[in-house]
Amino acid sequence: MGVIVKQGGSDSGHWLWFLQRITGVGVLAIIIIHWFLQHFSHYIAGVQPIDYATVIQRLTLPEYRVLYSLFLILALFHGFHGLWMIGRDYLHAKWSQICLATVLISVSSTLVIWGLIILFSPYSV
Amino acid sequence: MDGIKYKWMAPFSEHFRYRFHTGMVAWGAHRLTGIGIVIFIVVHIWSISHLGSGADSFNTVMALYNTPLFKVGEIILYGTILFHALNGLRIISVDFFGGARYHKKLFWGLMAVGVILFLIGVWTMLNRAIPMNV
Amino acid sequence: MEIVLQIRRFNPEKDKKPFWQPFRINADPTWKMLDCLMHIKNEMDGTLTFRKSCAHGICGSDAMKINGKSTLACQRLVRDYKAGKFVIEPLPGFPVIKDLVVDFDCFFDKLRKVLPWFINDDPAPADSERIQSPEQAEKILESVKCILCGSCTSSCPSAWMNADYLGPAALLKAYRFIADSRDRAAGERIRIVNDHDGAWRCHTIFNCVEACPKEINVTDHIARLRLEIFSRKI
Repeated sequence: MGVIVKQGGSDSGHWLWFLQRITGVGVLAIIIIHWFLQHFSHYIAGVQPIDYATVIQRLTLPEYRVLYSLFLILALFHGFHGLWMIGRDYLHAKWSQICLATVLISVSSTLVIWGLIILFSPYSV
Repeated sequence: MDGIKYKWMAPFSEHFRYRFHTGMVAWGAHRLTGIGIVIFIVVHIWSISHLGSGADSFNTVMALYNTPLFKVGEIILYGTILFHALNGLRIISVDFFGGARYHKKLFWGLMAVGVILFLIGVWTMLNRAIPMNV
Repeated sequence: MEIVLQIRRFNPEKDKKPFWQPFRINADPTWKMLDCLMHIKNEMDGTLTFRKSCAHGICGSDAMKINGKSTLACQRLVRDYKAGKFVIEPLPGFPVIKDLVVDFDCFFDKLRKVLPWFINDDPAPADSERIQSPEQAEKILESVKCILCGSCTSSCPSAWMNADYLGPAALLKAYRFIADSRDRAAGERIRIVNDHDGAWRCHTIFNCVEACPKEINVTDHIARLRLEIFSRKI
């Protein structure tokens, strides 16, 4: 069976295996932070609706942008590598694995770039 | 294999002819919730991208998220993420901390924690103690 | 008591595809499922084909799928199945040769891949065997119990889906020798199992643990195997 890898050239799968677990824990940690930021920030700043003005205000903070960039990259790696693992269990022909890898890498890369653009665009308050 | 109706079922045919055990149910649910969460992430990135189209466009999307259908969806999403995260912790325990010795107890223990966290989360969401849209 | 066994029959010389055949027998609750099969073969239908040898859980010959689960027919009693249903099929995931007999070639090919024999070219001590401390022996105590019955590999969804996956039994055997303090080929075996279709294909589904008639926690050993590979790769 050909050795088709997703991102990051490993030869046997042990790094991808490890990264899937690390990114999982990382995403979980950031989700907990995200949950508190979204739903309890009003204890700090007063009740705020989630609308354009509030979100833009948060996005002007560089820490916020960095945190969410990390969230984006970790979550997309974890999710799309997960899809890859599922696909590899059912698709065995080399061409179908190449197709799947190409689709997954393209879609996830596009989403990362799109997400980073959204996070780092200059917005008018 | 014999006895399957359609060829596309072939990779799955044995799954449903074998007795279900806790580990297999957890694995199947982990995969299904994972796929669901990826779909959610894609939709979420799309909806947040409306920031680039101005306040009106973004606020319209946020208003959509305040409708009952989406609020129910948010609760379902919360449950989905809870399951996937807690079972993920179980997988990490099995992989790195010898959790294979007591994986079933671990599963049911984490599910119990999950139910409690779910109920607390839903209560706070429904009580509108906190703003609801993600 | 009277029970009905539904047995999956298939004779490639006569049948186009497998079919279910019910057998009504008078069985004692303490009979093994194997006793039921022997009774059917002796008294009712001599063409019923299955493997068996020791009939007490050591040879591993009579592994089959009973009520949806891979197990040894000689280790299951009639009274274990409280619902009174008895569905007997060949092991899943293996090609069926006839009735309950499956082709084990693939299983043994994969086993051979992990070098399932003792490798140590240093001469043994002149006046004793190769000594192991109790702690060293403890490390492999569970994995040496494997009787190669095939219940684990036949119960593994990853093995069903991937013909090239080494499978629980081969990985367990690899661990047995890697963890053996007297063996010297750990490095080579680690190289062999360090593969997409080796130790990294296991998704910790745990069906193998449920199926093993010797109650070996196979998934735990595969997890230990992976940590062993990973610690050497860093």
